[in-house]
This record gives sequence, C-alpha cells and structure tokens, in this order.
Amino acid sequence: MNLLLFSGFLGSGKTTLVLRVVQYALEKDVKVAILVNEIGEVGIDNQLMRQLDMNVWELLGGCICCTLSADLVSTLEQLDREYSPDLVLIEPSGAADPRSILRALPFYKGTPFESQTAVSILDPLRLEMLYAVMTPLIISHIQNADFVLVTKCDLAEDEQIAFARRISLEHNPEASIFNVDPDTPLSVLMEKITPWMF
Amino acid sequence: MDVLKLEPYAVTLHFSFPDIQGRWEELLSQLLISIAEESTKSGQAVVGHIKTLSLFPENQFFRVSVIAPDIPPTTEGGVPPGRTELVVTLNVLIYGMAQADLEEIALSTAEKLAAEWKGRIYPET
Repeated sequence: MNLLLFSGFLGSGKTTLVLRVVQYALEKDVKVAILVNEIGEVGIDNQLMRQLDMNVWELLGGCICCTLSADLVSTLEQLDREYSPDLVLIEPSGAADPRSILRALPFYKGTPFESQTAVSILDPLRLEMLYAVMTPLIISHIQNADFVLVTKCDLAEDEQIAFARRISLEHNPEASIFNVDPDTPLSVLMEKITPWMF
Repeated sequence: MDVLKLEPYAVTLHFSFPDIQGRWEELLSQLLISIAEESTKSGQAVVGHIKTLSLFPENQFFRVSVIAPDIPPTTEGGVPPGRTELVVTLNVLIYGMAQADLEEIALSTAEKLAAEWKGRIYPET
C-alpha cells in the first residue's frame, strides 16, 4: 500500500488534481482508494467522486487533523484488511494542518506502507493574502511536503508564481517544486511523485 | 481580524427557472460571486471556498467554485440541455463569520437572484 497525502488550502485546486491523479492511476490498473475529509454538513467532493464511480472512504464529523486522527488510522487499517489498495490517496479538508495527519500515521499498525509521499498544493492567485492572514497553516502546508505543486499557473501572473516558489523554497528548501496548469502532462508529475507506478 | 473562526454552512437548494435557456453557469456563478461579495464587504472575513455541485444521470455533474469575489469562478462538467430545474448542494466555507450569518447571506442572496432571473430558489426542508 502506497500513501499519497494531498494537502492545500481551501480552493487551491486539490480536488481537481486528485480527480486527475485517480483517473491516471486507474488507467494504469492501479487499485485506488480515496480517503476524504470535508468540513461542512454536506460533503461535495465525496459526492462528486462517487458520481465518477471512484472508491471513496469518508471521514465524517470533524476535521482529520483535530478530532479524527484516530479515525484516520483505523480507517487506513480497515482499508488494508478489507480492500488492499495499491494506492491510498488522502485528501483532507483545506482547513486541515497536514502536520497533525503525518503525526498520526506512525500509529497505523497494518501492512507497512511501501511509500509515503506528501504533496502540498499552493494557489498563487491569492497566496500572498493567505500567507499574510493564515501564516501558520500555509507554512505548515509547505513544510510538511515532499512536493509542492503551484497550481493555476495558466491564470496567475508571473510575480504570483514567483512568490509561491520563493516562500516554498524559504520554508522547505528540500521540497521539489513544480508549476501546474490544466495542460501539464500528468505523467511528468506522476513519475516524480509516484515512481513506483512506472 | 478573527480569521481562524470557520463555521461551514451547507444547504441543498432547489432551483426552478422556466426561462433559463441553458444559462445555468451564469446564474450559479452570479450566486457564488454575490455570496462572496456580501460576506467580505465588511473586511472582516476571508473566503475559504464557496462551491456548488449538481449531479445528473450517467456520471454527469456540474460544479462551480469561487475563492474570492474578484477571481472568476471555475466550473467543471455541465448541465444537460433543456433543464429548467436543478438540485444544487451549496457549501460556504468562510473564515471570520458565524454560520447563522452565512445562512442569512446565502438565502437572501439566492432570493434576490431568483427574483432577478424570474425563477425560484428554495432550500430543501
């Protein structure tokens, strides 16, 4: 079981990218499970994924990084026992702090993960404002990532993209940073993020 | 600014617009932008995400999403042609506002829009 964590602030383009990644994996005959945690009384992303016949497991009743860490671990163990996916893709709410999720993973007692990769998604269109008012959360998204994907590069100004890359480097010099837009070939990204798939 | 308070608001809305003539994207975009504008005009709130989803047979869907009043909405999928009624899930995630205030803004904005577009929008009970 390989684990892929997609974090990013609300509206950063997580779900859009996750849907592309899942479609790509399915085309490669990879058995995928998606673990979604949405805040709000009615989940939209899980409805959409189910509508597209994806295998979705939902964590309900709170935020994955606060009250649902234990549920995350038990759901992963259940997935391992009952479904044995090749890839588990975790999409937490955009309000979640990925650090808390990563801290919970060592408590997982199922079949050891073959790989564990954290991807953070930054929306350059309003990153400067969010970085000013949501500083700790944005920094955590960056610091807890193996890969930082700067999305919406087809819509953003060069300065906005440069800002996203600059603060990513400042807070996580080890991370690989990629610019992404709807035309970015997914295979290029996936070869980096999920080399085991190739 | 109390930006850390996040009280999500969600509702299922029924849309009935006999004269819509396929302009669902325009209508839903206008709804979400208006909610974003109303929510942020006091300068005390930050839009997290405002989005709608409608589901149709055969894996079809229509999703509209707004992250700021001054950034154009993004859409995915589409509404099948000829529809004059729609069931829409609306999620409003805005930092710095109470859920009751978001509900008031969302429902009053929908009501104004319905009058402007000569249709009806009403929440599921």
